[in-house]
Amino acid sequence: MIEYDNLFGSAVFRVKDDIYSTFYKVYIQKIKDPKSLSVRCTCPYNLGDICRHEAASLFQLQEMIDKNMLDAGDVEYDQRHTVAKMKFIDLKSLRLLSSPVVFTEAEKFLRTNKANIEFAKDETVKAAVTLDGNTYKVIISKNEERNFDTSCDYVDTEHPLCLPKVIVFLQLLNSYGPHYFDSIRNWDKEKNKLLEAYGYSLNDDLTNKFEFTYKDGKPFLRVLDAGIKRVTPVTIPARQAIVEEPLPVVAEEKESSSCRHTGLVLFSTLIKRPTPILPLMWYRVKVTMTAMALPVKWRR
Amino acid sequence: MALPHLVKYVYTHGTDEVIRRGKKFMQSVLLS
Repeated sequence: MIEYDNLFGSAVFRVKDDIYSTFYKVYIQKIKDPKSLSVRCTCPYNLGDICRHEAASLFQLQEMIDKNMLDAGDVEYDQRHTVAKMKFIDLKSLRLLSSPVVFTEAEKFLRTNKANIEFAKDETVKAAVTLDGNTYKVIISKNEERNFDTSCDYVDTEHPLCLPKVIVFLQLLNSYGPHYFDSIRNWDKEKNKLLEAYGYSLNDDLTNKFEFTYKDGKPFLRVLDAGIKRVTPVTIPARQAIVEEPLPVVAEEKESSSCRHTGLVLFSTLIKRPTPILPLMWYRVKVTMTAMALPVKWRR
Repeated sequence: MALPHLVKYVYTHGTDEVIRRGKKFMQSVLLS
């Protein structure tokens, strides 16, 4: 087993074939629901509903459940820190991470009330939700894995997302869309990099000089003042110079310099990896020597 | 006692050969 998700009721097995040395992946979904259980294997078998890899995985999974090897037991969530495993605000995930009851309550709340968004910057949102006279603080921020770290002082040990958290998520989704957190990301580092090419930074007055436009959530720099030119050399011409350098075959003087260069590479590589590089280098030297010996009309 | 539903699924959907090889597989071949 390479993956198991108790919340979604899914598992992934990596199975080595019993005849060939091939590995197949078996995806099992809706484990807990016998009626909607689905099994899929990456092998090409199509002579029956399920293949031997799927059968083996299901037997194995049942054995693991019987032995209580999977953490299918009741998990208690501490709302002070829970992780919502979704990359953007997704209704389906919100439903799964809370419960139908909590989700409906959140929708009901938002028909007449709103969460008070106190802070929204750098992929972090701080909000206050008032329920039955009590105000609950909610903090949602994107973590390094691009999932959501959430925190709230509301008590709900059964679900990863409690009611106030769902309310805030839903409100943000309805008002700004699923990728709201990307839009409040701090792009200063990237922006400074773009400005650096013109000798500017975000600390300078950029009025009427530059403008940032956003495409797919990422910033692009637009130069408004035609008088502003790049100050740092663009790296592309330098690369082109290397690529477009004529092959040192025509003139014999250039040949010799080329050979010297080859010799140096040979020396440095020999120290680290003598055997695999050596034949290649000999070949290169040999070709160069042949080219030198050819009449001028054959050289290109 | 009723069979666990995962095993039942195999017996319902698998051919005799698949069930036989699946069991053998599970016992012998390393599942990782």
